Amino acid sequence: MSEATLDIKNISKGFGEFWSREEIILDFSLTVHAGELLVLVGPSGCGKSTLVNLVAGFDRPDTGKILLNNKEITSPGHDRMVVFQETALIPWQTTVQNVMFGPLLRGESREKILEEANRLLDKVGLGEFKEKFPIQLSGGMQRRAELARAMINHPDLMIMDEPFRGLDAMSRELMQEFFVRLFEETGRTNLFVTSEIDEAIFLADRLVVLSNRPTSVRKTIEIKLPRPRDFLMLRETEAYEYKKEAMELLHEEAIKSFKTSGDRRDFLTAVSKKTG
Amino acid sequence: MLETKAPTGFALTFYRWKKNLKTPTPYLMTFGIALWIGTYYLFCEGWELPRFNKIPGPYVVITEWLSRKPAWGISLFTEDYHGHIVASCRRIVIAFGIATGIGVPLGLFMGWSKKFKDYSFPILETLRPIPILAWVPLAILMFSGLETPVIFLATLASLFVTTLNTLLGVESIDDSYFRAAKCLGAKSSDIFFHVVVPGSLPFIFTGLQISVGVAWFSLVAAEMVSGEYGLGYMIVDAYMNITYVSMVIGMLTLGFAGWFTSALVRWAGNRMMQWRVRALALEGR
Amino acid sequence: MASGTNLSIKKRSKFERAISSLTFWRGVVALLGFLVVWEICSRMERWTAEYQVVEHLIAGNETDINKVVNEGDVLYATIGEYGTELNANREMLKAWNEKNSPMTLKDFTKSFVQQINKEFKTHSANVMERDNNLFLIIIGNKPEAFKTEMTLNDKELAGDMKSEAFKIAVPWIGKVPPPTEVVEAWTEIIGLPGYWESWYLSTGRVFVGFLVAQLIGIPFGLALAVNRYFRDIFFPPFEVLRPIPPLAWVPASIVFWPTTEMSIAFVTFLGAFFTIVINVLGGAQSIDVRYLRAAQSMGATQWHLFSKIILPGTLPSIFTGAAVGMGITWEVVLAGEMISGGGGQQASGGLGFFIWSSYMGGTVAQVIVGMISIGIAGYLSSSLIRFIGDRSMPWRRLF
Repeated sequence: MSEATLDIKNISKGFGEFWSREEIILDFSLTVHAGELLVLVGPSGCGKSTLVNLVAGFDRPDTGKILLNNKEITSPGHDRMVVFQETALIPWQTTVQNVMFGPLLRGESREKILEEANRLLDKVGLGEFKEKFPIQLSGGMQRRAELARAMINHPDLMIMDEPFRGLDAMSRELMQEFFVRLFEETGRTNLFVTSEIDEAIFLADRLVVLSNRPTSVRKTIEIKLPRPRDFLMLRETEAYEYKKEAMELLHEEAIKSFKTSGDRRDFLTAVSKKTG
Repeated sequence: MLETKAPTGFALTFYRWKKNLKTPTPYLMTFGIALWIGTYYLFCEGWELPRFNKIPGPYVVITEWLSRKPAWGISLFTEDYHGHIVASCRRIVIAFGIATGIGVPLGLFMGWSKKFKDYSFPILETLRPIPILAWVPLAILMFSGLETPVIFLATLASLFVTTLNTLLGVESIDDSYFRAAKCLGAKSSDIFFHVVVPGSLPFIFTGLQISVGVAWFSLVAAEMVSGEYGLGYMIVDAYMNITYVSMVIGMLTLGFAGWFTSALVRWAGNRMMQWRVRALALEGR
Repeated sequence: MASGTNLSIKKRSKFERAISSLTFWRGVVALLGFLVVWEICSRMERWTAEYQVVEHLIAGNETDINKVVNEGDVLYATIGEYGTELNANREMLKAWNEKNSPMTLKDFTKSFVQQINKEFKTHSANVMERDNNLFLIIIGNKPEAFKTEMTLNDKELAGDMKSEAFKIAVPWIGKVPPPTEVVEAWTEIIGLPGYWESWYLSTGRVFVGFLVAQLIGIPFGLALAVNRYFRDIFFPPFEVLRPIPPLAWVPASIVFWPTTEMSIAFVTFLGAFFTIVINVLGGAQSIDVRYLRAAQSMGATQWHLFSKIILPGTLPSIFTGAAVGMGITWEVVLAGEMISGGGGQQASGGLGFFIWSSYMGGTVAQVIVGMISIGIAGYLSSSLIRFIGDRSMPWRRLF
């Protein structure tokens, strides 16, 4: 079991010049306990990705602190691994090279890494695709390769930014199942961002519903479904209650965002993002 | 939330300017230009290094360029200079106009009709690898006089670029638009005017920008080999008459003219494709 | 999988696939049609024309191009069909004798040439310097009938010329020799070592200029992309010089460099350099930030980011730039050879010079042979770049 705790303390982040400045995140606090799978859901465009970038260390908050194991996060590091919305596998490296990339950068011994990479790839079911380039893998395979690439670095915290978005329903379900098994096996602290409620309920220990911009915690729902999870649990009344509650909250937030955006440009932005 | 009214017009420009001045960029850029001109000056005029002393330095060039009574015959105020510029620009306008007038429809038809492409594309691809300069003697033979061959060469170069880019543009259009149009009951001609033409515009304008550059490139080549007026001829003439200052003026003028025309095409393209610019702006690019 | 011949899918070669497609055969038909039309157009005039002899005379008595033509020297020419005479030169001669201002033979010849071009719609003239001699070239629309090359050295030189009395000529293409003649000319010279030497010389020049441009351009472009301060300082002067067409550098380069060979090499380098730098810079800047972030979060140092992400990520643009640069290089080498070969400098050989001298020598079929040869050479070299690109970027080749 991983012992890593993530503490987000009163952070704020905004973008734009002084006249068009918008606070994406304002005075936001959250704790992810050790060995917990915490899922964030929120209306689209509420600042989830900004939050992920801050936790990963790609960006710094304007105010406040993010602590991982009581150490402040100031730059990207291999104690946190991000799996992005779209594949970030490096196109000019084969699957196995991609997986070995991190440890090799840090100068670990090649044989050991190769052995571990092979083991991990077998585990995610890509044993036969080691020498293929990312472009030759299907969407689901790419996600699995990415999971392997993240796990080989033994991160204290995994950050998943809508990792299964864009997959077809079938492989999405398979990936969710695969991922939940993996989590139950390793028990690694996990911050999972999604906009799918079913996915959120299926995976989460705790479900955090985010409000519209500026992002704040609207409500935290403890998901008390037993582990190991399976999809049948989603049909139980308990899961249904969770879903109903979360749906209502999200709907409220979405309506709010529609009403408050008096500026037509905001609406256009939202539309063009959806279509483009 | 802090909401201040956005500054507009001059205030906005001033604000950006002020902000930009806080970064090292403008100072480094000024330094870069100064470094370049300084080196050029020292090598050619200051220290007069061997071989460099044959090239006129920046001081001589600038004073000559701005003088009302130029020592070597070419300056901003001489009619010869204006004549050369006008001659070259006139040729570019004609060549670019013809190339666009033929190339864009040709490329559109090639993309629209597979049969037409099958027949025309191989001929185009056979002629394309031949450098424009290699056409010079043939152009002189085929067209009488001095003006027509020069325009022909510039047109030919532009034509290849424009046609191919237009074709690429049509081929880049997503199939689903064609299907959607067909489902909505569009006729073949409707598809051409409402899908093919607007869909390939971005590529066409990229092509036109390259094509202007290529037209200048081959125009200069053609004017240098055969010609009576024009900036290319001016450079060669200055070289033959050993008035090297005019030669450098010619080069700089060419650079400016090339930059200006491609900026013009870019501007026209942005005007014509407002929908695309807006889409890009909304995505925050 | 030899079980059941019916089921086995035979893997067809590229060639087999090509000849079974309609597109391929349409292309063949189009090219054959093109050749046939060309042949007929250029033969048309020959089939229909009748010729007549006209007088053609040109004379002069100066050898040194920089020497002043003396008063009383005779320079005149009669040229044209049916007794048309060019008198302007006599007037000019008179004017200059009256003014008594020294005028070099070159200047005189140049104005003479301009006069011819203005007066005669059917002819075009040109001056050329070679081996300290001035050549006056007057070319009629019908190359064989009206082309001749005369030296001003000779006191008097008269020649019989043919002129057509009647013809049906196809404009433009009619003046180009037919493909059969081109093939004939090609078979004549294909065995000559001189022809292959021009290939060798031009190819050598192209590759030297190209390689130097790559060696300097790629690191420069990468440095511009990676280091902000470097870009701020060096990009502005680069952008000022970039719009100047490479060929405009030719005269300046001839002035600066001691030998023609070096000036050709320099201009070749410049032509490819700007393209390569712009492509490398654009390529490096358009690398997806996700790859950089992924590497960063796995603990990559600055050097790792550069060597593992930026460099391989820029490769596609490097090869695109190289392919475009290669085309420009051929163009520039050709120009260098034509200008230096035709400009009284050391005759430096190469395909460009081959074309130019064939043109001067009046064998137009050979000009076309030269054009096709350069086309082939250019095509082969860009294919080579594409091949190397495919080899070094396996992740783009596979699907």
